[in-house]
Amino acid sequence: MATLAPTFPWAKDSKDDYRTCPVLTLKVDMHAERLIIANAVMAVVTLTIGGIAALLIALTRWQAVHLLDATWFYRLLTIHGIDMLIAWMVFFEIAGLHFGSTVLLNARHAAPKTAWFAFILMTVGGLMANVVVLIDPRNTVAYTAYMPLKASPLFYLSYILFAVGALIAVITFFINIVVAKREKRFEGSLPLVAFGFMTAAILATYTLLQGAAAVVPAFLWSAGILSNFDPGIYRNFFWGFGHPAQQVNLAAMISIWYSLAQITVGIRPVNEKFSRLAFVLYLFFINLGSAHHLLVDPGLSFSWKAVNTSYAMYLAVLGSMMHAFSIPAALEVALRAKGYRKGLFGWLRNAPWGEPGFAALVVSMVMFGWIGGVTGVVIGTEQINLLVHNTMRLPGHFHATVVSGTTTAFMGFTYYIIPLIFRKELKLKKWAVWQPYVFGGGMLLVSLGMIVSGLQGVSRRNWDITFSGVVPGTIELSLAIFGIGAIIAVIGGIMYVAIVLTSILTGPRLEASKLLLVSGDNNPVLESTKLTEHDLESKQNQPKGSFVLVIAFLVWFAVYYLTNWWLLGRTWFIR
Amino acid sequence: MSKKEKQENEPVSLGQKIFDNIWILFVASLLISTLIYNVWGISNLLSIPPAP
Amino acid sequence: MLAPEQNWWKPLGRLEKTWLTVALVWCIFLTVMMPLWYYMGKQNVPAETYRTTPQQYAATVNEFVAQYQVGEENSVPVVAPPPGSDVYLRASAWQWYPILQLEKGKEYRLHISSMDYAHGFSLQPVNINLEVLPGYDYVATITPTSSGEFTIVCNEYCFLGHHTMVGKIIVK
Repeated sequence: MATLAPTFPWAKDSKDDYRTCPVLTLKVDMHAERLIIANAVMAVVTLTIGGIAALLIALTRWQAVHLLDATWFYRLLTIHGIDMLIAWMVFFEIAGLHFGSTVLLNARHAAPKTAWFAFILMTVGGLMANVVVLIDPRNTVAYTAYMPLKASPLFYLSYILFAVGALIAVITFFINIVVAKREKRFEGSLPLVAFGFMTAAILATYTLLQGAAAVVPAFLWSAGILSNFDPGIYRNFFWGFGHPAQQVNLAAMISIWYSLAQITVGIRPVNEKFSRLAFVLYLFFINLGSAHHLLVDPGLSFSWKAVNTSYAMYLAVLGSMMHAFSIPAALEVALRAKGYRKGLFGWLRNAPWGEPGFAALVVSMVMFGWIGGVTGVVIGTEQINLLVHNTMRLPGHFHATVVSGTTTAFMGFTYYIIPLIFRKELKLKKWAVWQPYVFGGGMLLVSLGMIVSGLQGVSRRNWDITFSGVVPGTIELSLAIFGIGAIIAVIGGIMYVAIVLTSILTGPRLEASKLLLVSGDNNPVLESTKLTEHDLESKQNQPKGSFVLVIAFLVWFAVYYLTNWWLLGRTWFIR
Repeated sequence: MSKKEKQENEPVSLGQKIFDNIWILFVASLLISTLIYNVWGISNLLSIPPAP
Repeated sequence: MLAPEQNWWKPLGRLEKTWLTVALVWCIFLTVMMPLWYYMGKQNVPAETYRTTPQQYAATVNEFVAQYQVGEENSVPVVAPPPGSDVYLRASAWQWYPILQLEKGKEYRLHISSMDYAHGFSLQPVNINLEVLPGYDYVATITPTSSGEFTIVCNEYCFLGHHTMVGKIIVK
C-alpha cells in the first residue's frame, strides 16, 4: 500500500505544514487541502438537494406528468434556486479560491482560522435557508424574494450568514495572494488560472456587498424595524448581487476551462496579454449586465438600460468572445505541435474525447457559448426583452450557462481534485467518461424545451400554465422535451454524485501517481513546458480550425439575433 | 545574450504593470459598477415624478 | 497553471488580431441596434412612469371603470375607453382588473400598477411582457395590431395563487 507524502513545515518554527504533490510538484498547504475538501463536500451536498428538487419540479412543469401540488412546487422551486444558484456555485468557487491562492502559487494559507469561520457561516446559512423554506410556508418566496413578498426574518438571516461567510472567504483569498507575494512564493505575474480566479474574487466582492444592500433592508423590514423599502431599489441591489454572482461563475468557469485544457491536452495560452485582457474587460464592465433583469421595469430610462445591458458597448461580451477563441486555439496549437496537423480539424478528431476533463471542457464550452451566451446577449437586448421577460426563455438561457456551462466544467474539474487533493483514487472511471455527455445532452434538451416553450408564451415560475387557457397545443411537446431532458440530466447528476461519493468514501488514501484519469500515463502539464517558441509560432501549428469555429459561431449568433428583431417587429406597437 | 535573457532585462511594459496590480483592478471594477449601474439606476428611480 | 514568462505583454498574432477586429465590429453593431430601433422601431420599452400609492391608484382605476364600463364578465367589469385616452389596469394577488376593450389600430396610454406585490404583465399570444411594481404607475403607449381576445398571464411569482392570475384584453 502506498504511503502518503510526508509533510514539511513552511518555516522553522511553523505550525503549518505542506506536502509536495508528486504529479505537479506544487506545494499543497495542508490547511488549504482541508478547506478545499470541506467546501467541495458542501458544494456536492447542496447540489444533491437542489438536484432532487430539480427532478420534482421538472416533472411538475412537464404538464403531462404534473407531479407536485402548487404548494410543494413553489416551495421546491425556491429551494432549487437557493441550492443551485447560491450554495452549490459559491461553495465550489470558494474551494477554487482556496486552491488558486495557495496551491497554484506554491504558497501557504495565511488565514486558515478565518477561512474555517467563513466555512461555518456559509454552512449554517445554507442549511438554515433550506430548513426555513421547507418548514415555514411564509418563505416560499422564490430565491429572489422580491419585496414586498415578505419572508420570515430567519430567511433573510440565512442569506446574510451565507453571504458574510463567503465574503470573509473571498478576503482570505486576497490575504493569501498578498502574503504569497511578500514571501516571494512566486515570481512575476500571477499565473493565468490564478489571475482568472482573482477576477472571480473581485467580482465576488462586489456581488456580496450588493447582496447585503438588498437583503439587510429586507431583513429589517421583515423584522418590523424598517417600515418600508422601495421595491425598485431592492431589485437594483438584488440583481447587483444576482447577475454578478453568475459572472463570478463565468470567471471561475473560464479559469477552469484553461485548467482542464492544460491538464488534458497540455496547452500554453497562445497570448497571455489577449487572455488577461479578456478577464480585465470582465472586471470593468460585466457587472453592468445586472440591468438585464430590469429591462422592462418601470422608472428606468432607455439610456440607463441600453448602456448597462450592453456591458458598455458589449466590451464584456468581447471578453467572452476572446476566450472563445483563445482556448480552442491553445488546444489546437498544442495538438498540432504533437503532430495532428491533418486538414482543418485533424487536431480536434485526435483530441482526448474519452478523458473526462476534456469531455467536460467541450460540453461546457459549446453549450455555454452557442446556447447560453448567444441567447443571453439576444434576450438582454433592451427591446427584445419585451418578448422574453419572465417567460420560459429565461430559464432556458440560464440553464445553458450556469448548468450546461459552469456546472459541467465544475463536475469535470472535480474528477481531478479527487486524486490530487482528496488523495483518493477516482472510482467508476467509465461513468466519469460518459457523465459530461449524458449531463450535457440532457441539459441541451432542457434548454431547448424551455426556450421553445417560452417563445410560445409559457411563463417561468408557474405551476400550471394551462390555467391561462391560451397556450397552444404545441407546448405539450416542448414541455415534454424539457421534462425528458431533465430526467436525463438528473441521471447525469446522479452519476456525478455517485462517482464522487464512491471515490471519497471508499478505498485508501493514496498519493496520485498520474495526472490523466483514463487516457494515458503521460503528464500533459509537464509536456506543455517543453513546447518551444518555435512550436507556438510555427506556421503549420497556427489555429486555423479554431478560427473557422468562431466564425461559424458568429454566423449562428447573427442569425439568432436578427431573427429576434424580426419577431419583435411583428408584435403590437408599444413605447 | 540569449533572447530570454534580453527579455528578462527589459522593463515590464505599463500595460502589464496595470494588469498585475490587483488594487487598481479591484478599485476600478467596483467603482465603475457602482457608479454606472447602482448610482445612475437608483437616481433614475428617485427622480420619478408623482402621478398628476 | 504555470507561471508566465517575465514579459508577457506581446503583440497579438494574426489570427487573434483578425478575430478581435471581427468580434469588435460585431459588438459595435449590437450596440448601435438599440438606439437605432429606439428611433426607428415601433416596439420599444416604455419608460414613462409616475409615483403613486395603491390607494391613489385604486381610486383612479375605479373612476376609470365607472366612466367607461360597458359590461361584465365573471364579475369583472368590461371597460371600453375611447382611443387616445388614458387606460388603467390594476394588478393584485390574484386578479387583473378590469377587462379592457380596445380597438385595433388605435393608440392608448395603458397605465399598469400593483396593489400589493410585484407582478408580471404577460400578454398572450402577443408575448409582450412588462414588470409591474406597487407604488409605480407604469405607462405603456400601445397600439393593438391584431384583434381578438388576448390573455394577460401574471409572470412574476406572487405567492400560491400566482398561476390563477389571468386577465383579458378584448380588441375589436
